[in-house]
Amino acid sequence: MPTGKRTLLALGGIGIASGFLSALFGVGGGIVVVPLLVLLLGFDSRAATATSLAVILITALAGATSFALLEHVDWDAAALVGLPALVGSVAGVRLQRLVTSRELTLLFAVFLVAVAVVLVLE
Amino acid sequence: MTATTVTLALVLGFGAGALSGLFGVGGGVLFVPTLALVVGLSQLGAQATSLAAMIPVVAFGAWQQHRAGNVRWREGIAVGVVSIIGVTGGAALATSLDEELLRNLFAGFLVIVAAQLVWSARRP
Repeated sequence: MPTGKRTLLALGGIGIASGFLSALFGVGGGIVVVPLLVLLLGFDSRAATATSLAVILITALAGATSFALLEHVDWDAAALVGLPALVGSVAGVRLQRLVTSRELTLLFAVFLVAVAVVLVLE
Repeated sequence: MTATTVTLALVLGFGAGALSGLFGVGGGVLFVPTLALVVGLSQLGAQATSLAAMIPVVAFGAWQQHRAGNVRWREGIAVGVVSIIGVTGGAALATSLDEELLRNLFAGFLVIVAAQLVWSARRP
């Protein structure tokens, strides 16, 4: 079945790309998973975002395990930022329903570029 | 770690979670700079630790989305399981790269994330 084969190829391609990016940079990989689920598999954006969390959970567990085996994970530091982030994410999602503006998104993008500059200069 | 570092890490962790919820960007983009610049981990250590730090946030998010009936588990598990192959390659590359090169590549990745945000915020 050509359609089934195409779907399998898409699923595999998205998995390999996102896993690679995730382990290379210590990120979830949502930046590739969400748009690719939409583009290649026709997910709507809500399903793509939700499904990307299931993907990232597996990817992050695999990534954390491989780096932990190499003794690169600082567990105290992980808890120090990860646990308050859990509380923060709940607040963030609530806030999203109240304020979402293009200006805010652009401001956040500028902030990310500023962080990138600091990292390079450090 | 000094008390100041701990406090700052807690505040920035909360902020990273809030921003990820607000903009739909994964926490890793903010965890890595916090762990590298504030906690003082190496770039590789910050990235490895970021993956561990995001697990509770992502697990909770996935559970909430599951309850809302939005997760397509068959596809999600398929992509997630295949991603382990990519993880192996990415981890091998990350551990073989020079610290400064890895940090600069990460900075480049941040700029791409920023560009993607701007693109997604363009006028409809």
